[in-house]
Amino acid sequence: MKGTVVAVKKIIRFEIKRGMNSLGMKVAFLGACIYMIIQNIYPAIYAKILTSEEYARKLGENIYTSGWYPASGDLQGVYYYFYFYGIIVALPFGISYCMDKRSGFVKNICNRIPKGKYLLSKYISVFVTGGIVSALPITLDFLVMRLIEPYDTIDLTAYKCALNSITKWGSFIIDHMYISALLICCVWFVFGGAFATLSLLVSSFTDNLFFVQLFPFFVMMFIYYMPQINTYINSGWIPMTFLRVSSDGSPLHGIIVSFVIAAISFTIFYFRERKRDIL
Amino acid sequence: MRIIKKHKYIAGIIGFAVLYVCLYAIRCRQEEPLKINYYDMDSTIENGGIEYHIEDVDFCSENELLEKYDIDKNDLGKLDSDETFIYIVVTKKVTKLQEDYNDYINMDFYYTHIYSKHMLIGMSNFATVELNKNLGKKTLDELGVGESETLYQIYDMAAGNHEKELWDNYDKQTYYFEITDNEYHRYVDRIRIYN
Repeated sequence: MKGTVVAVKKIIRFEIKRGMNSLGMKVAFLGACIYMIIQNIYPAIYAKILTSEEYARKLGENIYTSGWYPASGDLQGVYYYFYFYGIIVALPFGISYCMDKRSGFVKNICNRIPKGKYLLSKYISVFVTGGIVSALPITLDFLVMRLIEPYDTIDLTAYKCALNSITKWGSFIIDHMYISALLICCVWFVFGGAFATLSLLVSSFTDNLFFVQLFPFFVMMFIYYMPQINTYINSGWIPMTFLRVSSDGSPLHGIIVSFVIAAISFTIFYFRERKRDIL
Repeated sequence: MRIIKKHKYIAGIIGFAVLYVCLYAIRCRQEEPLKINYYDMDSTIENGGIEYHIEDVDFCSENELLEKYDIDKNDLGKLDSDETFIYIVVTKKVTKLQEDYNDYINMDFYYTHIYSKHMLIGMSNFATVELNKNLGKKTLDELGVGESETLYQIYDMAAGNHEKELWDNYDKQTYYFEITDNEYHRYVDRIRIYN
């Protein structure tokens, strides 16, 4: 038993290391960071070096000085990020299972350890790498923005965010800025991880790398347009709400949605693949 | 060295944390903290009038302005408008937010104003401040009073999905305003609503 646990730990560590060192991870992380810099950090620095009068004149030119990307008032800019969010989270390791099958890596691994354990470790590593590439850029963004404006609160004022006690989460953000930021980062991690595992889910149905890579993107597109299709959907359950600093969504919404996605993808991927004969 | 090599990720994180804390401490020394003022809807805001900025000159105190332009004290902070009605919620010493809000309910919200020292909530471009006979009427823009929002916008922002609920219970709510020095890109102006 102990030997099995050690083996599983080893394989998980190995898979995570593979994911972290993959080219996809570097590309996704860099892409996300560059987007944050262009969209959030650069305007903040630019606004900082302007005098008040200059800034007042420039206000009409869409200079946003949000204290943090998820709290940005530039909704369009934030939504652009969500367009590509599905690709970003799946890029590091989403297609790895397909690649492993193609290259015969799975055969080698499954000769040494039980297949179930390999599948579990694959799932965990995809979850972790997806979560890291999702949460790390916004965490860094938060830290950089604190350096630019050390005393600023999370800038909810980009659209004069007024929060009310009808949502307890709204009040909590005002009272406990850093804790709420940490919670939001955790939600980004969990949701990013869960969303990345959608690629695994698809890999058990198809070997088409292109489709496997883009599946989370299609899902995100669907979620993005869903409220427009069905106006009765509570916006609190949409990632664009619970991943942002908003009084409508809350981390609880994020955790529940992530759990549902993760549970579905795990169940289908694990039990379906376990039965299949890879060797 | 061997330990650092062995645990290079942990060492990297610790190094980053130390560097960040140092940088943050330096930045904290360079910047001044925001002064957040809390205003209750029921409260009276002392000195809740205008902080004057006329012809590129800041007047931090009332006396400075009085001396400079030879203004009678009673003429200060009097809002006037070309519109049919406008609320005079600013006097130099007293601003009662509650009164304004109650009046507002049955009125056209676009012309309703809550006015504070650093921030203007609810503004009509036509509003002017009558300073005195020497200076004539100045628009609020000329006075440099800063931000403006209509109460309607505040409701819109505060409410989100709960707008209707807020509207239906407006008289049961208590409002707290967090307003700070308005330096265009360094301000906090939030409205928290308690039931």
